Amino acid sequence: MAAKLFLPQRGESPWSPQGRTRRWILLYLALLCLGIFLHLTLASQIAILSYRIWKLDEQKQALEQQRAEIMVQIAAMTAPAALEEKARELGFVPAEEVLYIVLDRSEEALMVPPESALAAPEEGTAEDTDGAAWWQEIISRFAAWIAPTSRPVEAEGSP
Amino acid sequence: MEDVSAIKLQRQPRRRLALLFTALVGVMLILAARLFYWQVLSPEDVVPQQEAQSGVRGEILDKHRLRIVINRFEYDISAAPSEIENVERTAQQLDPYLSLSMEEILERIRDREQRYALLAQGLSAAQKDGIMALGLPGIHATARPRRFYVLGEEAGHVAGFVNWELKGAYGVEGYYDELLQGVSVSRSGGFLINPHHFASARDGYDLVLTLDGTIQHMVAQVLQEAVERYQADGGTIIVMDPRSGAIWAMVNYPSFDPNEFATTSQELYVNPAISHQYEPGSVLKVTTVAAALDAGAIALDTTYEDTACMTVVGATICNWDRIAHGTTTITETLQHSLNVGAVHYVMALGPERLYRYMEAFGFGQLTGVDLANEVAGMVRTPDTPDWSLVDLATNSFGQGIATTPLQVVVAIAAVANGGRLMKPYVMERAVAPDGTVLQTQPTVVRQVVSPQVAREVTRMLVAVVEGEVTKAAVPGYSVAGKTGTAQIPDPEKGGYEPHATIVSFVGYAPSYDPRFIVLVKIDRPHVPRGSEVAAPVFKTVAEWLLAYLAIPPDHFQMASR
Repeated sequence: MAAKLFLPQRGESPWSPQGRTRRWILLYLALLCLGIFLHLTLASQIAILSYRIWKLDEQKQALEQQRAEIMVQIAAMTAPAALEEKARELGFVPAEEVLYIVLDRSEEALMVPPESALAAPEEGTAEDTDGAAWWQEIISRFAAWIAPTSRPVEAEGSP
Repeated sequence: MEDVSAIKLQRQPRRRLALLFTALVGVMLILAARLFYWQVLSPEDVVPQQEAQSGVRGEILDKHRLRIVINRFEYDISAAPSEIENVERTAQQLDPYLSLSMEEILERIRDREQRYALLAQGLSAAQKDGIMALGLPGIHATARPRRFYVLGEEAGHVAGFVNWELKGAYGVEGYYDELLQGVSVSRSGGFLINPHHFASARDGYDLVLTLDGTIQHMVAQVLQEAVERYQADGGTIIVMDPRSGAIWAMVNYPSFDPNEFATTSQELYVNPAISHQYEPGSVLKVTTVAAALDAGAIALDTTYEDTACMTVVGATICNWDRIAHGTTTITETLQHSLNVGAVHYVMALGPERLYRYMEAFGFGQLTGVDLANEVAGMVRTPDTPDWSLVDLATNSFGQGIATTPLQVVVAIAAVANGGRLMKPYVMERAVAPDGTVLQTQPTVVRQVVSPQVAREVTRMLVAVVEGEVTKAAVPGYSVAGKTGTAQIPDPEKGGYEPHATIVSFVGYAPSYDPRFIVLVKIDRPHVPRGSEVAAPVFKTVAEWLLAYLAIPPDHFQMASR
């Protein structure tokens, strides 16, 4: 019925005045349909997203409730009274006397060792030091062999 | 042939347009149906009809970030009778989990025309999980946000509580209610798409207090033990940093557990440390002496002839020991806590200057502490009807004046702090969910007395502890302090109760660089003397604090200077 109203009739030229009017009506109808289509699509999407948000909200609330429960347990366990009780169970007792240590604040005690002494050995340094010590040992033995130092010798059966 | 093809050509646009029209109508119908499903049919679990989203209430932490007030959930269990398939079996399965009898459960869930029946309130998560694990149709759990007060009774008065509507009352919860509660939004479901769907609630600020949970716990234990040992009615201990006014501990006994506020007597909600007034007694001789010295009414070497009693406009005022001490110095007046000496000094000072100093020390006015329900106390001045010189005389040793324990601590802390009166506070900072921080800065209210006078009075108070109140002395440390033993006014008969007293001791250490000030107040102990009851309690607290704060003995500190 609607098609009969708006579509060109048999034998009627689409460019006749009646045909032009019908074309305009068709155009308006199409635009209206497009508008409704877009509105419905948007509204539908929003409704779906709203549902998803609500579901996620629900999950979030469940997680928040779980978190709160865990926090309550942690807080109860870390409360000073609970910690004190636990410490006593483990054998700790309140300190009877607090002793303070006097640190030597004299300049000598506070003197910082030279930087060279604190410097970490570079790569290969340990080996070089070992080598130098070995040479030092050889040289000292050689020197001792060349010029032996006189040692007091205790003769057995001395008077 | 030509006619047939012409007719076909004429028919083609008609068919196409009809096809297009039908397709469009089809798509619209599908979309309309979808929209009808989501928004009109609106199954209960798809679009809630009315939903309120609350901002999460902020938590409260102590100075070491230990959580002392946190959020938790309680659960209500309800039934939708119309959804229940088998009433008897449901009741049988619920029976072990509920406090209701089988008959009561049946009575509540049998009426299928009833939409909702409450079965249990305030269940824990474990209890709720147990019931929901049964998987019974028509049984629902609703979470209700509540608060959990970790320190329980130990910090009941400082924390306060929130009522069933999550409105803060008393303590920090009451004072900072707006900051803590955040912003809530309400959502409406149904046909219309509500812009509130896209607005989110804002959580409240987290508060970091100056309170130290460990000190609070220790002090609470000491106070309870003292009240029980001396068979007292109750007591209060306040620990404060005199340099900043930060309150580290505030304990009263008896107290109440905010987790059980609904079953607590309302009288216990009130924080005696800030809301109960008492006559402080001899503790106030400290401010009297400081005022007289600062005003130049007396000098450090002033002496008077102590005759045990003296008469002021017809009223006889005597020392507590009724002994004539002869020529007495200011230090000796404080050491022996002589009322006659205090009256001598206040007569030299005069009423106008005394009350000006009393106001400067903060008596008769709110300290401004950030806790709900503080009271101002009461000072009778020459403007008050019936005021006489007797009031002036009795005020000098802390009688005829009503103060709160916190006012006394703040006033004596001014002497400890070089004469500067600090505003006491319990909130160190408030942290918003977005990280914005509101920091409390220590506030100097005013300079009450000069630093020199404060130093001299401190020296006298050290002599009090070392020479007279040795039960407050901590070996190795210089401690300054003063006892107070006050009679209790009898509002019914007038005058004072014959035997009851409120004993107190306020002291600070190390005296030359005070790190803490402690007030110990015990109500109606069976031994009615501050030096016998409150001083030993002070010593216990001070000794522990010195170790806890790792403050080495005096000679170590002197050596390191």
